[in-house]
Amino acid sequence: MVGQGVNSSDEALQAAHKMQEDMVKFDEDAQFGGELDMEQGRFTRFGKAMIRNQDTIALYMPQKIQSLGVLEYEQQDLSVARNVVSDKAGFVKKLGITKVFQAVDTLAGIIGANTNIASAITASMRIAENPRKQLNFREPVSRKFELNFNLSPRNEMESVRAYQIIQTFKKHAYPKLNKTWGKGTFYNFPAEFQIEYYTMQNGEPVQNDWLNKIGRCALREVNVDYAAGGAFSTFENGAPTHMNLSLTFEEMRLIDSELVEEQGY
Amino acid sequence: MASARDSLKPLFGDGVYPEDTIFTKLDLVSQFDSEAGMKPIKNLEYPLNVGTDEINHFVVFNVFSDAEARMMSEEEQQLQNAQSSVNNYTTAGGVVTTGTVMATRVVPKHMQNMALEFLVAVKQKSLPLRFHTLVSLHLGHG
Repeated sequence: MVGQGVNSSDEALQAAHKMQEDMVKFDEDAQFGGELDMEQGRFTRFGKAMIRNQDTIALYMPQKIQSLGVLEYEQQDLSVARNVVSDKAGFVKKLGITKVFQAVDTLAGIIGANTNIASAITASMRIAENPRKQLNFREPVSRKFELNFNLSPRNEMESVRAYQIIQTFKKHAYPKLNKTWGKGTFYNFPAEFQIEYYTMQNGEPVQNDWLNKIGRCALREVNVDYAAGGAFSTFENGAPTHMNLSLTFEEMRLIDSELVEEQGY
Repeated sequence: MASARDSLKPLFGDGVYPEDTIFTKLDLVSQFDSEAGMKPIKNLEYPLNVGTDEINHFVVFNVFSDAEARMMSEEEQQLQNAQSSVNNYTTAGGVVTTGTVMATRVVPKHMQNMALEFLVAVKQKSLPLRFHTLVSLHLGHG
């Protein structure tokens, strides 16, 4: 375990060897999330931040707690495939009525003539192409969580705490300049946030499973209104009396059905 | 009535999670000694009575970041020095490797030894384990 002293250099070297082996093994376990998730085809993200920071923030429940799940679908023209499979006669007629004349129109367009023969023919027949469109699923969209907190400190201590909380969120939302690989040529990724809802039960904080769970999130927006009361007002020391902290988080990986069913997302 | 700090204690400070509570994965944080060489604990609650009977519903934000996040500035400096050394050797290794096959064996071995020396130093100075991860990653073992 870390923190224990080692007397001889040999022992230390052996310990270092073992520790390095353990770390490699541990890294593999951590990176790939164990056999169960691998079987389900759900892998831990590349480059997931693994170190819990010392900063932890607890805020009252905001006025609005929304869980918005958006799934992306796309209308696609499947007329060719559908006609070839199920309506070959229609496919041939479509070629004859529209596509041949569309080709003529295209050729005429090269010499600057706007013939529109295909349109004229379909208009005179009073028919239009059926695109045989179908709504196809594409992907779930990563969930966003917008949390708004009104901060109206009642005393200097709460003013300080509000200030610290705002600064902490901002500090972790932004990237650090990387000083290892050049002098600021790269950024280090900003921090990630794990958001949990709690309720006090018998004096103990208990995670509230009645609300949805939230996966590891990036902090996409930190907005602060220092005059949330309608006009800028301060205490004697200059600390604002009304602030509004608006945070927009976005989940860093996509949710699937099993996560909802088994883990309450 | 318990104070906010008392009731929130399990969520705050060095009460580290043995695993990621969301995805039930092991997290490196549980491997760390929370006592030695860490930045001072910064637990922030608002309002001050959150977590008491008065405000018994609340939302907790746990912050996860890179290894440097939990280090003291002195440790960060040591880490940067170590990373720079490893990077230099990596560059040297690349140049020498193009010259001879022998070099491809010597340089990585040298890097390995250097990394181990660093690990020993870390071990003896009771520094947190995360150094090992970073050095290992630079050496391509991660």
